[in-house]
Amino acid sequence: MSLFALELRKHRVLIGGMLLVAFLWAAWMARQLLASEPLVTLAINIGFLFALAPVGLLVPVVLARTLSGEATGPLAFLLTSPRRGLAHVAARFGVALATLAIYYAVLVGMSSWVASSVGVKYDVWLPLAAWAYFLAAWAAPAVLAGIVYGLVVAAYRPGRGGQIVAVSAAFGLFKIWGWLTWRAGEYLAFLPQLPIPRVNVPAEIAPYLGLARGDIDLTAALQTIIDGIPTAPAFVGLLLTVALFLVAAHLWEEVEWA
Amino acid sequence: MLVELREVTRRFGRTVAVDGLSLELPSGEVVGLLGTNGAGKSTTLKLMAGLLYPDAGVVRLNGRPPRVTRGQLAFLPERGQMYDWLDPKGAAGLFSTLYPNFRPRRFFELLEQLEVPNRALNQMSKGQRARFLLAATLARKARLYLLDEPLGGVDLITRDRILAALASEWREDATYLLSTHEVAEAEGIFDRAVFMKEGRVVLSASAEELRERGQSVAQAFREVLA
Repeated sequence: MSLFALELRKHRVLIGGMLLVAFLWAAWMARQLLASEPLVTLAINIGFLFALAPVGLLVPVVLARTLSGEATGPLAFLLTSPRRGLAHVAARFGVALATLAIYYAVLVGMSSWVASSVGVKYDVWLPLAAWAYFLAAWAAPAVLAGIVYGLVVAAYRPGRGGQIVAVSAAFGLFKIWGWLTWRAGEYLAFLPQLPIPRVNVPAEIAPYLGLARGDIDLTAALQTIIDGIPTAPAFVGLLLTVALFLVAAHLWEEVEWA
Repeated sequence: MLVELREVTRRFGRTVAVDGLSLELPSGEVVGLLGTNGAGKSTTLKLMAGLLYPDAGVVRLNGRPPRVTRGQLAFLPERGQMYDWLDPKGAAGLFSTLYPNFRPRRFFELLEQLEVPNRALNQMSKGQRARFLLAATLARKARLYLLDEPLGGVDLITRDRILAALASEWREDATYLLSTHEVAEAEGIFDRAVFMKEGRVVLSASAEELRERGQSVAQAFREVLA
């Protein structure tokens, strides 16, 4: 049994539950889409996406905290293993990222299916790019931030005051992350940009999106949006992931088991 | 010396669990770490295993910190816990991943010797689980075995099985350190007894030295720790 399989088995209820919710949502959407009016489904889908967005943002942190919480736990044999901290952290990170990859794939896949069902036309790479961008720029560093937080608490056992500092530091990390992303957008303009996707919205859909009536080619409009969403955050996210990964591996070596 | 502790102190808040403890253990000995409840035995074992860091002093296994030489030690915690869904085959797979020195064939031999049934841990009794974890610990080819209360809470027959398994596992290049309250039952296998009181070593004597004093380990226990 590999460390990855161990983590997967340990957290199977949480992971299974999370994926079940995503799949149930997809099944319910599909039923709406097939059984009733696609336009209504689109409206519901957009509403759901807005409702799910904060959950989707919290999910990596919650998942990572759960995974790292058992680092010390009652299981001394994990900490006396001569396997390096990197291997243990990689197993937890791998399980979390694999789960989130499926979770976000369901959300993105379902949304793009609904959109294409009602006649919105776009480049086929767009959902894949959105999924990969979200994983690299948000999910991967967020998972590791959660793991680092859990390991800090496990390694140094802060008291109530220390916990407040740890939580503040975690929020501070997200602020620094946002700042880095903003600065990166400013200074890393030379990095390759996302290609501008071709998106065409048919006349009957436009009102649902708050757009003017009539067939709309969003490609030109997306030019400014894509320019405003450079690839720099994804690179910053990946760099932050590597840095946090090394911190987490070091913390694993520091953890005590009292 | 295989194990060296010099002036080691470890506190938990205001409680001093280990207080300036110094101890040296050579290879090839079965050592009993004896003391009353709260004497600091478990903390000492965890310090040796690198699971705790000393607030002061130095812990060395083969001349290096235990966290660096983790591959040379095998630790059985007092409240040893394992994933409940593991059966012997799954545990062998997991331990092979975690410990390069794990010997699956020896693990299954020990399970047989200790009469551990071939089923998941959550379907085992307390005694069976204790034997299962002991087998998993002894199946690692280590230089230092740290066994925290391996005889605690098990019946007399199980105790005999555990002691027999320990005796069969003895190697000249390894040291076995057992903390236990079951002094009378275990004293036949000790080469040395280390008595702890209030976080300090109050006596470290070989079986021969105790015999010369005309004392059994149990008698020395009562005399030193009373």
